[in-house]
Amino acid sequence: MELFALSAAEMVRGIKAKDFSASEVFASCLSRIEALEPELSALLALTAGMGREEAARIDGMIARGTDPGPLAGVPVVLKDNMCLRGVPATCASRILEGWIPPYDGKVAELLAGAGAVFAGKANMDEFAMGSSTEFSAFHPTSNPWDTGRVPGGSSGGSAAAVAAGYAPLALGSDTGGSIRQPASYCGLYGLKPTYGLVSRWGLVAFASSLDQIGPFARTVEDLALLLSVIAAPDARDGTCSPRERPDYAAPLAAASLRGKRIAVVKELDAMRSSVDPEVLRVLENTLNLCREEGAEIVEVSLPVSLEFGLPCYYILAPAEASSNLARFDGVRYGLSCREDSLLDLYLTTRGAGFGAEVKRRILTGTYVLSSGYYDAYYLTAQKVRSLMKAEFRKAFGRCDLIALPTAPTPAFKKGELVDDPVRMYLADVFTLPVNLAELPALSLNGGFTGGKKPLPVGVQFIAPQWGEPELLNAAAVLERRLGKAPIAPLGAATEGGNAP
Amino acid sequence: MTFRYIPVIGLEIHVQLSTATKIFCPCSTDYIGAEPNTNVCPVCLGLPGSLPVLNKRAVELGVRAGLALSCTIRNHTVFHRKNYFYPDLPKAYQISQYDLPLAEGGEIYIPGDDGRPRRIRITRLHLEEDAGKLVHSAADGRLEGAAFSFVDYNRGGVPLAEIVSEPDITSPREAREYVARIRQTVRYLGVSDGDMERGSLRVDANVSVKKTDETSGEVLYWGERTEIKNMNSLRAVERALEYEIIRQTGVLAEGGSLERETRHWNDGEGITTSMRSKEAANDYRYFPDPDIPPIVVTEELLESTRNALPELPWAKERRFAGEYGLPEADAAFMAESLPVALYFEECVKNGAAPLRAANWIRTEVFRVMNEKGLSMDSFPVKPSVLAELVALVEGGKLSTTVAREVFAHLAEGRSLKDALPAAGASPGGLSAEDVEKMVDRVLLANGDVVEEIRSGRDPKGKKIKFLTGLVMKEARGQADAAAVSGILERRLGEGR
Amino acid sequence: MTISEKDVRHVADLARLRVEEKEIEPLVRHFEAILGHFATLSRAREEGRLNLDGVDPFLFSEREAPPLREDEPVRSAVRDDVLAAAPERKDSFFVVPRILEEE
Repeated sequence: MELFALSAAEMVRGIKAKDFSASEVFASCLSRIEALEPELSALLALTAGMGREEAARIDGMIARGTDPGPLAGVPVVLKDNMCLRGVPATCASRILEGWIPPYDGKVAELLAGAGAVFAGKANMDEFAMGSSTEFSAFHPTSNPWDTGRVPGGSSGGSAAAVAAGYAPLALGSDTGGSIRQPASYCGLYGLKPTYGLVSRWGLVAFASSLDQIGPFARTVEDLALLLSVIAAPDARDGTCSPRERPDYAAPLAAASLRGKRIAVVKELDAMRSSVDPEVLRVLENTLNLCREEGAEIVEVSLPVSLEFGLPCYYILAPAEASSNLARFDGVRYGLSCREDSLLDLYLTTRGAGFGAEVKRRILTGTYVLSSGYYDAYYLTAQKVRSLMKAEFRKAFGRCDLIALPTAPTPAFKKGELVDDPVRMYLADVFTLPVNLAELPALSLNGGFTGGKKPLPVGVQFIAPQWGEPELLNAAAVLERRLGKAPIAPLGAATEGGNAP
Repeated sequence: MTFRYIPVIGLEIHVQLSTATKIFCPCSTDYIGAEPNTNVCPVCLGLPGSLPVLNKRAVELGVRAGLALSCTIRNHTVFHRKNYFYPDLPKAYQISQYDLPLAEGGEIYIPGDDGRPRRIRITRLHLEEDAGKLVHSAADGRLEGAAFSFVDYNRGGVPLAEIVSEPDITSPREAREYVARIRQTVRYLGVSDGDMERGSLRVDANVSVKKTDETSGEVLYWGERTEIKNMNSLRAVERALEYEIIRQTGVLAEGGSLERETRHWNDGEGITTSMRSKEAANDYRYFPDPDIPPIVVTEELLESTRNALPELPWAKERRFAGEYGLPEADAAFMAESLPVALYFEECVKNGAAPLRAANWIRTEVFRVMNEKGLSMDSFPVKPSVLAELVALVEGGKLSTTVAREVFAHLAEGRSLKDALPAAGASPGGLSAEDVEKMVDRVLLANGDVVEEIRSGRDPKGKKIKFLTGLVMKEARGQADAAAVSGILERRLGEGR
Repeated sequence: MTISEKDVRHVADLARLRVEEKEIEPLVRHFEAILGHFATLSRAREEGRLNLDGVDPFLFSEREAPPLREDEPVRSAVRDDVLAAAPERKDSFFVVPRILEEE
């Protein structure tokens, strides 16, 4: 097996045992990237030079007998909305083209401190607004399982990178499903942590009360490994919890799901017609495995979340975004269309710098906050959000985890929904209630669609606040039944995983 | 029908809080004279990915000011975003407070126009961040190129407390008194240096005029209010309001109408000019800042802040008048600023007679401070030394004239021991015994006069004065005239 | 939900976004779709399926927040990088078109 195809944990073990070096791992990943990037376009920046130096530094530490940390020599891809000092962070937007963050975000600091090696910055929907990565201002990204399809979004570049074997780990951000939905489309593990578990310092904000950074991986062990590194308190983020983080490796040892109550959601029944049958079949199958592993399957009801979550989300997220994206005004950094008057500087810079979807959301957000509409839209949506939170709390009185599809369909074709944004929004219907309720959720690959080009299909598990260990526990048990997430069959032959 | 035009004034005062760091980031607040854009970081430059974290001290100072102004402090207070575009606002929103301010419903008393105390209600006190500074290309060529403005974010993010009054103020003089009172209070509290010229205390005034029926008092018409900005001194506040009230009254008297607008005070020309009308009012789209969790003001913080509040100026004034018998004007003068009040009380504690100490401070101490451009804190004559000097005068051991000379030497930095002989007085002044002996000698040598006084032939006290003069002459000015005549009266009384 | 072109223009003004004439109409339709979707809430309320009476808006979670920041200055190192990359700069000022009065 080539080095790039190893899991992160295998890489760390090999590097620390001096079976191979960090530099060799990085070179293997780099050649994989170079081979596939023309086809996938998953990245916006490749940090080859920086990565090589860092890998060499890790090798030096190993040679000297110093422990480089839990991610020693593991290549990691960051979504392009995360600040890494000295490397452009565009958020896939013209308005930030060429902007080089002069500081490291908290997750970049933590990763570097853990010995990770940065491989590149991943493509995304502009400012994380989208579900297909087609709203990148630079280029779309292809799904490694079928390059005619989207990888999902907004963290589509991160997901495609891990699915294609660019790196075993990537970080995405999830505001309404932006980690879980691409994880589902690309056949990976993707985890959206409890709001406040991971610092947002250095994450370019989309909707501050919903954004959360989380890991992509092909194994549950890797997912837990990356989560352990990034889940840390941070005094620079007032919304980052100071609570102690548990050991995320411990739940991986669980033998079964005995004693666990896993809930299906009653309202899903009424929605069956709008969900792809293959998605329902994979969910069914996964629940059967849970049952076989000793879990009790119960039913809970989430009527408010499933019926009103979507419209509320598309009020609240744009409202926050309209304010968060106001700072891109051409005065201090980024694109600046110089004009003779201040007003024209603003209008031209912002008019030229933002893409159509971002403009739509800024305008919607501005509208719902504007004089006379705040109560009717923003405040009403926040009230519904309260109800959703309470509804989940009540549901978790009766179960340990809730299972839902991650997305209503497998990966859709490029261009299919790009002109119908509101239909594209439906891709988030099962994921965004989790953000509104500040809960953790994980998407795992439950299986594949039939047909000539099988597509991965994700299943989502939702846990109560700070319930990440519960999610990892279930995922670890199911991984033994379903197998690890495979590298997509692209380019050079790959092995391992449960490729269909 | 005759009309009366009554002004209605409410003030918004922005006070820069005396913190070491900005309200939402750890950059220094020391921006005066700093090179542009030096005290800046990702947060106060509004860089993508940066997040605000509230400065604890700013909350404490806000609570302190709120309590001193008798406000109710909210136990959960929330920051909102006020969204508008302007180059001095790097995030294109100002983090401020909206419907859940830190403090509400307070009051403060000022000397009213009728001489009686007037209560001015405080609507609210809230915290917010200051904006950066815009420098417009100046004609002096220092920043040539008339087509541009220049932005410096050093001041951006400096903590402000905005104190909003109810429209309880009815004259420009009251407005001035109110601002002076607020300034005095924040200085007393150590909450702000309150320097209007440097912009650490800024006043915006809302003023309108109502037209009433002179006899019935019925309000016939209430003009739109205008907001006046750019008043950089107490005097400017008073003048700008005087101008604006006359202007508005004039418009109303001619049957004209006023529009709601913001006006700019031009101190040089002594007029207000229109800046912008409310037509173009911004829609600020306030909403709770999701980056900043609600601030919990604990009972402990309230309690400890309340306990640590210094005695406030108005309480000090009352106490100085009551406890020390100072006349009202002197009490107000001694309580005007905390350093002066402390100096005064230290003098008294060291044995100086309060009234005399107050006189010395008001005249000599302030004269020397003004001449030398000193502050109370750096004043070379320590209060204990002034107390000694005052006691010498009080005890009749030094005449006021010589004491002034001694004081001048003290102010040069000399010790009392050196200053006394330098002013031609004996070290430590004359002892009480010395003075008694001199009195004895004079009484002995002037038996006839003594006899006349004792038999009641000195109705106008001229003869006592004559004897006093003789003693003073003998003492070569080192004795205090009042003390000497006191001794004389006692001695003359004894022999009767 | 009826949205007018004027509404869209007003909001674009507030958001300082130049919107081309040809973009206006699609935006009107987009607004109608989004806000129309939201109107399902009002219908559900009328039908008694959704009751928001007395519900506190979810403005902040009840999470434990980190302690407030102590008032101790820290000098940031970003200044030179930021100024060097500024779109337009004069000495250490950022430069904007001259502001004649408040815009």
